[in-house]
Amino acid sequence: MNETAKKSGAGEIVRLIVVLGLITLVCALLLGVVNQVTAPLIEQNDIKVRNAAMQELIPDATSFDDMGVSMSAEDVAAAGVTLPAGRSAAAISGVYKAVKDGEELGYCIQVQPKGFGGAITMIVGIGADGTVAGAKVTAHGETPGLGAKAQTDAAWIAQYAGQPADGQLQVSKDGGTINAITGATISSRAITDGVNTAAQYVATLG
Amino acid sequence: MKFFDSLKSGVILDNPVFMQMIGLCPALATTTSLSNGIGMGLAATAVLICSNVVVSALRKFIPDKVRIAAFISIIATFVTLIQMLLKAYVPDLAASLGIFLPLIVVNCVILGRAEAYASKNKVLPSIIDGVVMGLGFTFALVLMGFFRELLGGGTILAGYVNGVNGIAVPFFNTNPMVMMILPAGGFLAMGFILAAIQKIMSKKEGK
Repeated sequence: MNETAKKSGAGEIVRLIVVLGLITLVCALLLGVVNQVTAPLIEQNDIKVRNAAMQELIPDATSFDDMGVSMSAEDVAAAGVTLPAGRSAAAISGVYKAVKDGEELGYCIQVQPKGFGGAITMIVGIGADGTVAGAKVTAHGETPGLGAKAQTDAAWIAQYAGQPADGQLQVSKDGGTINAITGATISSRAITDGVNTAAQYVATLG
Repeated sequence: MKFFDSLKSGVILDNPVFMQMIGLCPALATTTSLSNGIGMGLAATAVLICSNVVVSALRKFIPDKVRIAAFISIIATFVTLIQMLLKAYVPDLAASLGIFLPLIVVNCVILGRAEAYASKNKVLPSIIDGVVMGLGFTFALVLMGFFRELLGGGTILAGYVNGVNGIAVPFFNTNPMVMMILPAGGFLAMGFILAAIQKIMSKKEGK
């Protein structure tokens, strides 16, 4: 410590800046290189996960056409998506048309409702027959053991399949038919918002 | 032999969580289940070993005044690198570690060991320090995760064994104390485990 005190002054400050600058430069270079290598792979993995999820929701589809839609929650609400009283529309981060031999089977909508621990990313399948084909959570920050069950508990999320795609679903606590996860009403409401947003959005597509 | 001495000190006598009382935030936040505890513990151990090596190798190069900034840069770089590599090559593992990886940046066990040990010792002892402290941290998380999952959910190893359901334990399974997997349960589990350890230690000392 004495040594550094003696050396204090312009020279010492320059040394601190140079050393710290070098360390962060090397870190940044490393990160940049690895990012270059891994970014395309990560994107492919994300697409694979999404496609697998969509295939599960609408198994008969042979392809999913990206409609290139991405909207904030405000834009979605402005587009005419209205949820049951007290609930608001979720952001939409992707719209995919499920097709088999040129025939439209329905849509898969990637929505991001606000859960207990930030945005939940989920995919909702809406069939051409006007019912919900199903929903699947792909990423979330909900409490493990409680809200996280929305992703892990297949039996719970299955209750959305076959529901009317009118965008009016509610959890039973709010007077609806959806059974909320015990101890995770907020997460359950968020998932329901996501399904409703997707259903109403598909309705606006006509 | 020396390695086993340090292993004993890292895991028990000088355990980072139960004795040094550092890294409490991840220890409380991520131990809602045994598998989460194992995942967080091992991920933190990997970063701890890497950061100890680099900090130790650069210990004469890094000026005292900016050491914390330098350590944090190194740790954050390792965490981000590991996160990107896992996402690209082992996406399943990345998905199950989820939020834990970014949390490691602010894990004070890692910064603490960089400051207290690696910045003052040669590379090889620093690696050993990283291994034993990492194992000590993992041991603490496993212990907390085991009790919290058992009492709060009535299962063991949910997520790893038998799909998402894990091994159901009779009685606990039908009477889960949900509070134990909520934040309050983390403090309770920590308190009881600390009390038990103090009891055992004081007996050993013959008091």
